[in-house]
Amino acid sequence: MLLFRSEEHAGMWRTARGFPDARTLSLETGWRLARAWYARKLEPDWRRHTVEEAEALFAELGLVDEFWRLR
Amino acid sequence: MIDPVAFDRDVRLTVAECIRERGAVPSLSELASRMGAADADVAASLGRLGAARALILRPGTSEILSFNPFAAGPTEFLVRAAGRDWSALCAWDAFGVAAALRADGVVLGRCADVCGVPLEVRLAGDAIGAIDGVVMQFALPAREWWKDIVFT
Repeated sequence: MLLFRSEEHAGMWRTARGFPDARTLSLETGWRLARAWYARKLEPDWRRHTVEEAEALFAELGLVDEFWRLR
Repeated sequence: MIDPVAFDRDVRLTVAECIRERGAVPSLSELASRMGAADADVAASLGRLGAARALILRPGTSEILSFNPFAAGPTEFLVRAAGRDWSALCAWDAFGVAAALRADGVVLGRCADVCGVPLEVRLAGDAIGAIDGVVMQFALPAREWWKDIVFT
């Protein structure tokens, strides 16, 4: 997951590097995703998200197409 | 006889303790020393935790590359949060450092396109501060992320 100064630069990178299906996220969505994913990482009761939990989290953020499927 | 489940939890919590206390991902030897455990037992535990995707090991070693989102060494993503500088393997993890610390943060990186322009993203509560138009990009679909997690 990389940062790009604009959608245009992200698109040029996709083409040059051969990842036509790469997806961009707004920083706001990326921040929400990071907080939901990692908020408990240093806590004693941390555990990995199940596939179902991860897909539900993606769905909450509107990330619902094939790209975000885990199975 | 070691109970691997309990021991792995202790290893994980000791890694987290090192991160909180001194702002760094510990080496195998530091972990073993802190826990009063044998290097071989800690190495085996790290292998299990890596297989369980709780962390990423440096290829061919028993040293932690990233206790995601906290990278063990310098990377392309620097995070300033909770009074320290941190490293992360990717933009998502860079945001994740601030999330895991439950702190505001500043992510310093570069546009990954050939321009390489420096980018700064400020994370504060629900607010994001960055120049207009900056985006995060995922190259691979979600189900392929762990096929090569360092690239991802």
